[in-house]
Amino acid sequence: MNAEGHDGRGATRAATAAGERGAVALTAVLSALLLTAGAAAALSAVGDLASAVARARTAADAAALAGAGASPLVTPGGGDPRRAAAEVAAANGGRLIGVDDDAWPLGYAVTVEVQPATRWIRRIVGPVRAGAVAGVRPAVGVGGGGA
Amino acid sequence: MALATPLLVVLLVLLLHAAVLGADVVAAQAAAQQAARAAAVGGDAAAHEAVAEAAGHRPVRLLLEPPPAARTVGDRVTARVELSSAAFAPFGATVWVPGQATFAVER
Repeated sequence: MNAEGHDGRGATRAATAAGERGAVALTAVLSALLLTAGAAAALSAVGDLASAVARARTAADAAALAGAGASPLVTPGGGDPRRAAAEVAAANGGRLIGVDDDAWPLGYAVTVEVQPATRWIRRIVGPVRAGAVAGVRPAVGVGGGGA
Repeated sequence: MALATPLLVVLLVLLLHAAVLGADVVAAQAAAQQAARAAAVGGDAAAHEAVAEAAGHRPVRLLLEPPPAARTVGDRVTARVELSSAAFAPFGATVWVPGQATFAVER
């Protein structure tokens, strides 16, 4: 009777231990998957934001240069700097949201925003903004210059 | 644990490669910006030099639009760059990371 009782308790302990090991393994796998999913989401967010920042810088640089290029010191007769900047910003996937023409026609400053590609990041972070300033260097004796 | 450890290692390696890919996305955009700026100021040869310098040792493709003959001052020139990423290369995959930039032609 005792021997049977011992065997029964031993079998129960063994089954319990095996069950615990299985639960631990399952928990470990699930934890690893959750950890990886979290890391992937974070990495995706950082990558998307980094890409948006790079695109915003490109759009701002190009827009400022286009605006300065419309200066009468560069283009005979001049042009509309805001329109030129807005068009180039849009061509780079950005939107012109502000200009500073205090230095006009010797310089032009712009602020551009770009939306991150991922919707949930757009909702949380919003648009990424970048600014740039371009100056005009008139060419002496030629009547023109370069932005 | 014996099951979870290899899985975790594989996932961490994949994440590492994803991080490299993210860095290359920024590098491709920077290369496209330099190429477009060079094309706007100095022409196609300057753009190819700029993108090669930006890419370093990595293979890179550059497409400039419109063609040089069709560009005049004030027009826009677009540089489309594809940069070969080192990410996932050990798995036999070649990933081309795109970048694009548009600048106004200055001369």
